[in-house]
Amino acid sequence: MTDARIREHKAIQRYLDEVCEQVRAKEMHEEIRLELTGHLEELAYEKLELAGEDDDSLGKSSPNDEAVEEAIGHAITQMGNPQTIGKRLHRVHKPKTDWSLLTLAALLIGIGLMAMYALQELADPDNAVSWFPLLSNKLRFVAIGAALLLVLYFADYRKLKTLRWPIYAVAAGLFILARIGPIGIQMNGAYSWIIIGGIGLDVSAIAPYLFLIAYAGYLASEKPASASMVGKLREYGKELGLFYAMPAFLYLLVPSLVSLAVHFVGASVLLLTRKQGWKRLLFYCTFFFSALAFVIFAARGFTLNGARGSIMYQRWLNYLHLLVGDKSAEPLPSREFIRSAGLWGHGFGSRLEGLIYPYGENVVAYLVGSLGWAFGIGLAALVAAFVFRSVRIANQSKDPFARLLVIALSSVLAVKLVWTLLMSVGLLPFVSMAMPFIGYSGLQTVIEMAALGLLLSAFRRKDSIPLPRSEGIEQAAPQR
Amino acid sequence: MKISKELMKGSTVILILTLLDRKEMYGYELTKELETKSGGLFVLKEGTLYPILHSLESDQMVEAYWDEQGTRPRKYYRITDKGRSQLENKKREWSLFSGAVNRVLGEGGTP
Repeated sequence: MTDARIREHKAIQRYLDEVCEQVRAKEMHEEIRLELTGHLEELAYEKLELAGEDDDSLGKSSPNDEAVEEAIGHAITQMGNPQTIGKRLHRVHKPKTDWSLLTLAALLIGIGLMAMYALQELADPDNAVSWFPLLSNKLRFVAIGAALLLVLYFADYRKLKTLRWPIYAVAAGLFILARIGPIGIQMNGAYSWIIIGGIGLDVSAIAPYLFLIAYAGYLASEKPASASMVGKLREYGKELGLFYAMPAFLYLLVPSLVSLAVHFVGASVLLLTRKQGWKRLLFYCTFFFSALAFVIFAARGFTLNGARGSIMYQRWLNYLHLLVGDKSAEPLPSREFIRSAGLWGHGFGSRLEGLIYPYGENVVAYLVGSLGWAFGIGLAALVAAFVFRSVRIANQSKDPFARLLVIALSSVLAVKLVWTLLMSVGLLPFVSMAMPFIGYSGLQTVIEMAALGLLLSAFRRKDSIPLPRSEGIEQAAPQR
Repeated sequence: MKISKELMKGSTVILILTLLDRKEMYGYELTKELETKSGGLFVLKEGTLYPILHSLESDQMVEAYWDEQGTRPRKYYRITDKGRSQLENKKREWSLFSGAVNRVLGEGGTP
């Protein structure tokens, strides 16, 4: 075959080697070789055909070696300098760093460090948390987080797709650990914390990241929906059970309604990116909310009476009272602190009336109250820019798993960022949630920086993921 | 007469997008099309086409897919909506520019 003779010719192979030598993204080599080989072959053929018109030999007998050599020589000259082409291809496919997302996150972390310093050194002595090493702990978490970020940035995020079930198991396992002493402790009526060596890990805050990474992997490796009704129901049932019912059960066990909400928003957004995803979402929502209603009504008199005294119940009730403008409702401390701050704020040293956990769930109120509305507007703009940037990463990725992963992680971060902002001014129920990157909440900063590392990792490889080929798909399909 | 490299450089993207707007094509086909449509005036070192195509792909102006039906696998390029609106902009820019150049040249006297 003339085809193979051209394709496997030494000169062609050397040419391709010289091109690929310049391209550092090894993943792209095969695709580049294949594409350029095709072109070189066509060029050589064209030359042979032209020569063939004279002696009418082409098609009947194989062209002689001399003619092939000549045609290949022609093809290579026509193609141009391999180094130049390689260098230009390298520029397209080289790893990219999303400096703007990194800068935005660095700003948020910087604000967080400033808040810790202020609380420790400048705040009103009644409220100051000088007994607790807020700043040095936060700095330590940021350092660990930065190391983890770097590791994940350079690692191949695609491994998470294969690791989806272990990740799922870790998420579920953490909830069990939080229930067993002496690692797990009960705090404010919730079994949410694991304490190891004096460092706390808020399980219900971390689980949404893990569950949704697993869900992104699940959706990315999903096969086309089965045609039969029974098959479809089985698939939907599995998905509903694994990624909606089971996590919901675990979040309610804590209980942490806000983590459930974060999870639910993230999962819905993931599902909506799928073809016909809204139908599945509708199906799951119907099921989910009727189950929730059933649980609430069935458990009425048992759990709700007990919960009446809980902080959560009080807060949600108070939120509803404030929302409808009930004058008798207890004013929200964070809202009052922000409202009285004015454009330029109370200053860091002012009295913090009733502002509990000013480093955690009230960190936004502390910062905006101290530095004023102008700072608040700046903070909101920073959050908006961060969310916008991460959505852009999803849009720019060609790898379906990268898109899902970025959407999963950034929706968790986005919901938390936006919720903590809005709850501080009373627009959403006030919950025990520290603002990502800024607040102090155990190892949470580390996890958030790890999530950031994965976002950057997806962006880094956006131009070095080869296109799927039909052969490749056929090979991947018969997994079991 | 050959066209100078500088002139070619500024116009390759608009030419590629225009051709892809008419039809989905693979690299070799595109170079041939470029040559025929320009009456043999645009002859570029064919390998330099690929970095341009790949960067258009990375900017989501075009999308690519492999067709492995024929004797050899071919990577086809197809223009996207983003690519189309970019093409419109480039076309407008071009007609503005060429119009201005022509007007200046016209003032030189050649009727």
